[in-house]
Amino acid sequence: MNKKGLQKLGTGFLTATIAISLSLTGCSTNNGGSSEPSKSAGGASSQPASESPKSENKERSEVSFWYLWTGAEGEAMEKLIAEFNGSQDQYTVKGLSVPDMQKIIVALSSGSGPDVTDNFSSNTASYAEKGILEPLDEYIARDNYDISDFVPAVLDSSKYDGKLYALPSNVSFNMMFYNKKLFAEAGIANPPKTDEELLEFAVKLTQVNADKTIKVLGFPDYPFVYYPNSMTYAMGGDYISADGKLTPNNPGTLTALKLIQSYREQFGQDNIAKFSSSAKYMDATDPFMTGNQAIRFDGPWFGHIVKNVLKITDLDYGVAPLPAPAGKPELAGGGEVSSSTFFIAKSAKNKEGAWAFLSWLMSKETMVKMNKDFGSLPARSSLYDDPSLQSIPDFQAFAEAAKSPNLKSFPAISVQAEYNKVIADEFELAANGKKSAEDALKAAEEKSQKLQ
Amino acid sequence: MKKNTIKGLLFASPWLVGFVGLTLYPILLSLYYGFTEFNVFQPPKFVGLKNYSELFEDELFWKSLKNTLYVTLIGIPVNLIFALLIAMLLNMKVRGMAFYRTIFYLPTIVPIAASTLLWIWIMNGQYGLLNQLLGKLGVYQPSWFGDPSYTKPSLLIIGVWAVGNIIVIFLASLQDVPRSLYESAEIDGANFGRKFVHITLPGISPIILFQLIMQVINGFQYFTQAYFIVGSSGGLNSASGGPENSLLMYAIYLYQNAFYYLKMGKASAMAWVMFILVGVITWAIFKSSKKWVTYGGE
Repeated sequence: MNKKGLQKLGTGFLTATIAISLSLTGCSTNNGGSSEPSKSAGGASSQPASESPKSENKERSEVSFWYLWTGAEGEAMEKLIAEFNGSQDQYTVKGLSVPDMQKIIVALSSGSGPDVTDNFSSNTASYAEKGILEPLDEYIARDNYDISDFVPAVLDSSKYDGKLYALPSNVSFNMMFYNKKLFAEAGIANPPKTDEELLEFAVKLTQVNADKTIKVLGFPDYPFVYYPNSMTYAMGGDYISADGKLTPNNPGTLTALKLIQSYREQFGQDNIAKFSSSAKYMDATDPFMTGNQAIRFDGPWFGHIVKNVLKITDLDYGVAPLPAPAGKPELAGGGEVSSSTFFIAKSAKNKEGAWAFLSWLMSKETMVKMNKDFGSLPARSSLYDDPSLQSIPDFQAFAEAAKSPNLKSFPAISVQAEYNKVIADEFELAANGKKSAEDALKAAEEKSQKLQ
Repeated sequence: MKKNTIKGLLFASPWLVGFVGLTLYPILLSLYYGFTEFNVFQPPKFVGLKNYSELFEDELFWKSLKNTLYVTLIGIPVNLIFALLIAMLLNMKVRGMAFYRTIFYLPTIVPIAASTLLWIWIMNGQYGLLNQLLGKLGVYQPSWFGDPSYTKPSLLIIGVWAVGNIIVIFLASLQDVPRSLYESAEIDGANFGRKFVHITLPGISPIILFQLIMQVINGFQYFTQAYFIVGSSGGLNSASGGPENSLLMYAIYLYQNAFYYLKMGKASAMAWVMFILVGVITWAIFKSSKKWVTYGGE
């Protein structure tokens, strides 16, 4: 989540203004005048690293590694880097925390970027198409590197045109968190198992103030951005057909959309908008933390943040799979999978060193350490019984849910960001009552056809 | 004579080199990129006018232009009138004037990022100070940054709070209007309104023109406040434009195209459309200024 938060807030004011002036003046980063921090990414032929701990081998070459993490996660990353540097005498990895995706991209474009860096699975296809990423298949085949235990949906999201371009470090998908106290007060024993139950329970759980504003939100309407894709996949929908056609207008999305529409109509668009826009995600005003939200869709980081970061102890909540479509239990356990990914830049100066580090970082031993520190679910499912991971809040619930064959990743196409924006915009309009569900999804279909 | 020209150019060369290399060249290059498909990683591919024709079919482009015109066409008159009003108040001879002048200038020296985050709290739909005040008055309390029809009026309120720069310049120009004109008008029996229309306004009209043009240029580049509000209110991804894209400003959409979608060609085309638009509007303002701006020297 820390990284996710950075994704939205990372680009600060300064970068923003630089960006405007750059784009207004043509943004020729490869034509001199680069505003990026000059990072000496020493190649294999560069000077021997001066701080070589074991002076026996003086040929250590440098590998530059930028990561989006900051704070506690950033420190954990530095610890791993130090461990790698101490574990062998061929390479010295130099880590740098750069919590700004745009900055890394601009640096990579001018060839002054890192050898290895991280990102999200949602960008892999787009970056691969633009030639930013080094394909990994040859390295994997050459070293006989074991990737057989990666969660399949996650590995798929790192592929483009049949080639693997990145290695995922974790698995992210949303589950249903529910406030047990609010459930007990409303006389509901179990979390909803179907979409029909979800709406029924949500209505019962909602509490309204005298002026009709919402006191307790029953529906997983907040944070709204998590709802459309999670619920679409939970309802058995998919945004792409088997033959590669984009299908935003699918039955799953329609069900998800109509469900939120009926909830909002019942309690008033205005009241829900006010409730949601007043809250700040994972903060003192977050309604789930204050006991004012009964059902919430959120990711594997949720428990870690609640218990270890915000240190909230009096919140009694349960975790359950997302609801399944009524009458179709075979579709249970669906959801949208994404992940944090690590990749080698095509422009890397030290590709061998980059692979050596990347393959070490994504090895079973390191992946356990990394996910333990970050409180997340490893991308290798063979690690789920590892004792050191069991202390992560809600770990077993997520590990169990990760086995579901109904988990899917968002279509790995080069226009993924644009496609997601089209869906999100139309979904929002319909959820806000500005359009009918059918019209909105038809519009999304028309717009997405222009993307391909 | 010729020798002096060379010498002159040599003295000006630090600026000349910088201007040609760092400003003119990139600007011309962006004109070229506007006719290409360019993702920064692969060499630009010439596509003619495709970027422009696609732009005019792009719903979000028009939306962002509309949003920007809203904060420009409504925001600028509001800002200018409000600033002039305050400047006139600050121009009166009252005790402790230095204090009042400081108070009204103060918001301008607060970093925009900090003041915007503060406003986000003040205008919070359920816990905000503003809505608590409105609640006491018994009027409707909108969710300022949650309801698409209130997001832009919210920006106008934030904007009008920080007009210190405009106030200061108006104040200086008000003090430049010759006292003698007011005195003779008073002898002729002119009241406050007539003095304002016939002496004050013509007297400061060149300054109004200057402020108007600067505000138009700034208005079209509106970015920071909207960007922060989008970022902090539920926009968990970089492509967000606020509720129903109501905060998607032209400059924000340009930035997203350039650095999020990596469509440098489209972004360059957008930059040129904006340049031409600002150019035309500025030209129109200048043209009309002959009718309403009076220069004291003539």
